[in-house]
Amino acid sequence: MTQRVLPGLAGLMVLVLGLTGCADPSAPPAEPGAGAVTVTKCGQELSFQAPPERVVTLDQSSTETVLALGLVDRVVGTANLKTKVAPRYAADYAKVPVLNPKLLTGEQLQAANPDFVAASFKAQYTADRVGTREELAQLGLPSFVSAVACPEADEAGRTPFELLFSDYEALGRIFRVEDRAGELVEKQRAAVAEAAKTGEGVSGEPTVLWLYSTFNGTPYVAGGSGLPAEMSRLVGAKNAFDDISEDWPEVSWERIAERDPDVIVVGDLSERGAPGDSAAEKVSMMREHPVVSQLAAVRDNKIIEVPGIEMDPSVRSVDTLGLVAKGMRELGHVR
Amino acid sequence: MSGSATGGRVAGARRLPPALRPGAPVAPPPPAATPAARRGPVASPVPLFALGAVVLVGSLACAMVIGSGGIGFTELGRVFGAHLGLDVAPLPRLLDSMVWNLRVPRVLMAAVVGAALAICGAVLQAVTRNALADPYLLGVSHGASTGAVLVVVLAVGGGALSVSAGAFAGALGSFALLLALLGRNGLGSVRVVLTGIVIGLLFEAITFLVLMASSDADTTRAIMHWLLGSMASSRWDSLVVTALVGAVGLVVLWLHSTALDAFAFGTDTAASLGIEVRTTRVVLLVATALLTSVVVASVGAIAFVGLIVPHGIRFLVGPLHRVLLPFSALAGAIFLVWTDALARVVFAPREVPVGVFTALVGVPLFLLALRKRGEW
Amino acid sequence: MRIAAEDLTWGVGGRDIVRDLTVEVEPGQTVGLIGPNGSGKSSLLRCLAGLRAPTSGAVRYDGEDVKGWDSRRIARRLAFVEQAAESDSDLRVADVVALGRTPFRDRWRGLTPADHAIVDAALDHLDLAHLRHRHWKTLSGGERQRAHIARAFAQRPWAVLLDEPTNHLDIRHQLELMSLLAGTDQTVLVALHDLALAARYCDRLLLLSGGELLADGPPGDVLTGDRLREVYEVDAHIGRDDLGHLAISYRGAPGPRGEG
Repeated sequence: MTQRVLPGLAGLMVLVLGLTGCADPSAPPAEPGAGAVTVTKCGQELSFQAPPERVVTLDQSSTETVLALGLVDRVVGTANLKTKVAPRYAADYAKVPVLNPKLLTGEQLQAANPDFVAASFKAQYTADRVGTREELAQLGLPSFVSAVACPEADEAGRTPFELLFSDYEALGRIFRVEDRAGELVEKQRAAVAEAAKTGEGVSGEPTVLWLYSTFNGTPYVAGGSGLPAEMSRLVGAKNAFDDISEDWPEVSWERIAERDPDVIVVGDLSERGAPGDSAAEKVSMMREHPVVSQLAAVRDNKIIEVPGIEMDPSVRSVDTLGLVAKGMRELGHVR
Repeated sequence: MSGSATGGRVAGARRLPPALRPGAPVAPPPPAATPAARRGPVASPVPLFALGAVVLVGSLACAMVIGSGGIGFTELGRVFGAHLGLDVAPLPRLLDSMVWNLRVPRVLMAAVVGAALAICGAVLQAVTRNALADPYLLGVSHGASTGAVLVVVLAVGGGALSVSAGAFAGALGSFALLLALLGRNGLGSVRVVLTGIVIGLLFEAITFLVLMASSDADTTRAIMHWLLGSMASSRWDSLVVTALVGAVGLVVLWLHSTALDAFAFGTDTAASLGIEVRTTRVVLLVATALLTSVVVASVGAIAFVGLIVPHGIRFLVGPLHRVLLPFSALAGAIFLVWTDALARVVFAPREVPVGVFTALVGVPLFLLALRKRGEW
Repeated sequence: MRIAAEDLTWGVGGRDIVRDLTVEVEPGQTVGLIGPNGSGKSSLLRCLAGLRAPTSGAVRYDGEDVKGWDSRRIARRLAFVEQAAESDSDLRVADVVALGRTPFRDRWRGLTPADHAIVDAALDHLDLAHLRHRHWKTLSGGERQRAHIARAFAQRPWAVLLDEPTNHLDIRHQLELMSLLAGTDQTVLVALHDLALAARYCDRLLLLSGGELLADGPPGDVLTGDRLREVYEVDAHIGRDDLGHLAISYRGAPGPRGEG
């Protein structure tokens, strides 16, 4: 008996590897009908005969973007709130059911019966969260991912802000609110241009450290691949940790001291409420550190406080851009 | 004839009765020796098992209506009816999909995984003669994490390999390393335990090393689920594979029940009973590792089930493996179906990792069983 | 069943524990295997039981070399009882005795009624019927030993090999067990510590020392003062007691210079 069992088990292993080995094939592209709007987002083509009417957003950035476009009446559920919603959207936000204060599950998504799902990051679309984009496509549920999350798919090599604006335009076309979207793009493009103007006047190339949060006392800073790096460039500065090609790498206080940044931008996450989240705590942590407290930026208080969430791509990012540009002026870096 | 030389026997010594004579035909037992009389105070396993099966089916149905979406038994019936081609009014498409594509496979998967883990725990406890053995003793879950991490972070396999397949390959790889380290002579209990622990630590370290290479917060979080266990990714395809392997594994392990009983008395005794000790140990380890690997590849490492359920069941139905294994499978299935349902609803809409609940629910039950046995 | 060892050598780690041993046990004999610790008794028993493969030489059952026999084939002919080892099993006595039917069982079926009859007979024969439902952990050392022997008998073997089965038994059970073994028709080969017990119940004694067979014959021939001094390093006198049984009186352990 045992002699027969071992080959049988081996055969079973081969079978299992064969069945599980193949990744899901991508869903067949939807057939666009006449008059349909087609948008390609992060490799998937989404097609709309009519504007969607039941939108579910998977994170705060997409929630605020959708609300900024005035689509509150079409939103049937939100999820994953990081911090307080910006005051200008708070009233609208209160009108929409919160499906899950944290990550949404697949069951909760499908139970809400949406016809459009929006997210800012690809990471939500996995089998153990809301389901893969392929799965959702097979159910006829279009999944929107912010273009900022997949810059590699963008052949034109646009800047993160331009990618963000392309989100607004795409949403504008899908929901037939091109005017609103156009207005938003205009406004934000102008803000970017303003900041760039300040940037032209900045002397030298001051290094900026973007401190997002600390976890167990370890600092998380902006790396070279995220929005803060782009914001630094716009204001004529250089991101202190541009050489690390990640969005939010974990570094050490010693390294920060080594790089001796000229300006420090500190994110405030007070609403999240974890230890070390508020800007004040981060500043005092720096003031108490034996080496970091000796840095010119800390001694001379060249610190700009911004809401933490605006350091990630969202409708509010231009606000932080403005704050940083203003900070540059106030701290005397502009000729 | 024996004995004539010494003549020192106690008077009236008994000769070997006919029933025990080698090679003699055996007369059927007298009518008074019915199975019931022979069993004495031990409960008959068959009706108890039937009862357990009914409880399992009931648990499955209840778990399928627990959770988001407000599904009741009628709606559940409509979903099953629609998919089985019966003439019923189907639910709206997305709700139907939620039940049929997400909820049903998840609940069934909980049953399959619970059964598989419980049986693997019982088998490993017998093979290693260690009451604290559980399915992850062989280091398989850490091997799976390494495999998963290699696929996700370093894109080994170039996108053609799914995370589950990577995890499965990683698990088998760590097991192959275990067998290689144990070598020809080393399947003794203590060596298996120690080597398994060491292999687990090794692969755990490799996992973290690879994670450091890409300290992307999202990837780290995604991999953590292997270590905590999550039923949320269960779908029909992973269910079918796990159930198939599970069924075969369960049968193979059950067929070795007598060997498992005999191992408790030592390898020489087992060998003297006609058990090929080395081959049997290899088959048992391979079957357990395979079963555990498939489970971990599907849902991550769910703790406590494999450790606690066999002990609890041993208290209820005794240690005879022919009975212990099927009952452990049944109990493990029911246990995990309910803890997964709890994980879905207790802090709704948040979903707690099921490993938290297996501990919260399992540990008190276990202590209760220990207390009843007077061991605590 | 005739059991024979032919120039049997077995060792571990490069060291020979049994050396060039040749012996033949006739069918139905009750043979005692005696010798001090480390003489190779346990190893010889295990080689003869087919549990260890000899480095050289052969083991034969009824003339046939058992090299290459699978465990099951051996288990249908011969039963082996170890020295009582630690076990945390908690099986019932009846289930442990039923393990003796393993060599004859089909994996898929449970025990047949015939199997049950045999288990019952074995329990009766070893006076364990009243303990059949008791859990292993509740038994005394002696009861466990008898259960193992019942298990061996349940195999219905042609030969039974036992490694110091009387160690945990009280006197009454020691005498009963030896009487049982001596009275059975099967070939019995039993390693014993107790020389008086060996002398009283065995037809023939094999005296081992350093892995070699020093003496082979009826107890009266094997147990002499000289032998005991040589092998066991004790000063002993062999006589007969009132019942006519061989009696050994120990005078002491002579020091290195032979003083007593």
